[in-house]
Amino acid sequence: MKLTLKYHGRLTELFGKKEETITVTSNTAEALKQELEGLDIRFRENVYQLAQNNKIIKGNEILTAFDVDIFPPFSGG
Amino acid sequence: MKEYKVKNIFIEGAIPPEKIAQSIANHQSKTGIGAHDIFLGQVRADEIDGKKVTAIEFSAQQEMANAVCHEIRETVFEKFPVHCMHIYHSIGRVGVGELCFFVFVSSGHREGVFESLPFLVNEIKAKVPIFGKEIFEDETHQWKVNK
Repeated sequence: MKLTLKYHGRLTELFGKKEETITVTSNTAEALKQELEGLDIRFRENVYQLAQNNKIIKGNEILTAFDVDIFPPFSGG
Repeated sequence: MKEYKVKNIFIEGAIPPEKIAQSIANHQSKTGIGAHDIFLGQVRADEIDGKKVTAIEFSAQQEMANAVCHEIRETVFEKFPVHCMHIYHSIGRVGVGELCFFVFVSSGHREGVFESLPFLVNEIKAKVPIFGKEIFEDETHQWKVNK
């Protein structure tokens, strides 16, 4: 399925873009992480979290959205 | 459980000190309140590798940030005897010495605010998708990392 990855914070610089649409086969958060890390070394070398529908997702949580946020560690405050 | 509307926590640029004074004044009619506590985050002129920070530029996934703050707010109302609570965070550029984060809790008694405020501030820092970019004097930058 097509998935739009939305980068935030320092990841926008690391990837040189704010978002990109890619085709993935994964249907869970953990599977997507593995797939992304297989596609691009930058995912393996950086700490990031995934979110969909304004919630952090991990492990066996099912991907239901067409957009996934990719967050570096938060640094507000 | 009381239902609270999702609020927008973001303020463009620095938070003016007058907003803090006005927020305190706005509570004078709420006479069940006997204690307020406030946390203010200020941009620090850190020196990193000989270069001084002059500003922080904040970005965020604002919709999620507001939704997460709403959840944190509900948790605080459940856990602590807090009457009201306000959260504001800057978006965009904030110069050193200026305020970028304002958290305000009010309760009947001091215990309610002393206990809830650190929890609230720490939850926001840990869970809200906000990102700071530290800008140096020469306009180069590095991404802020929370301690």
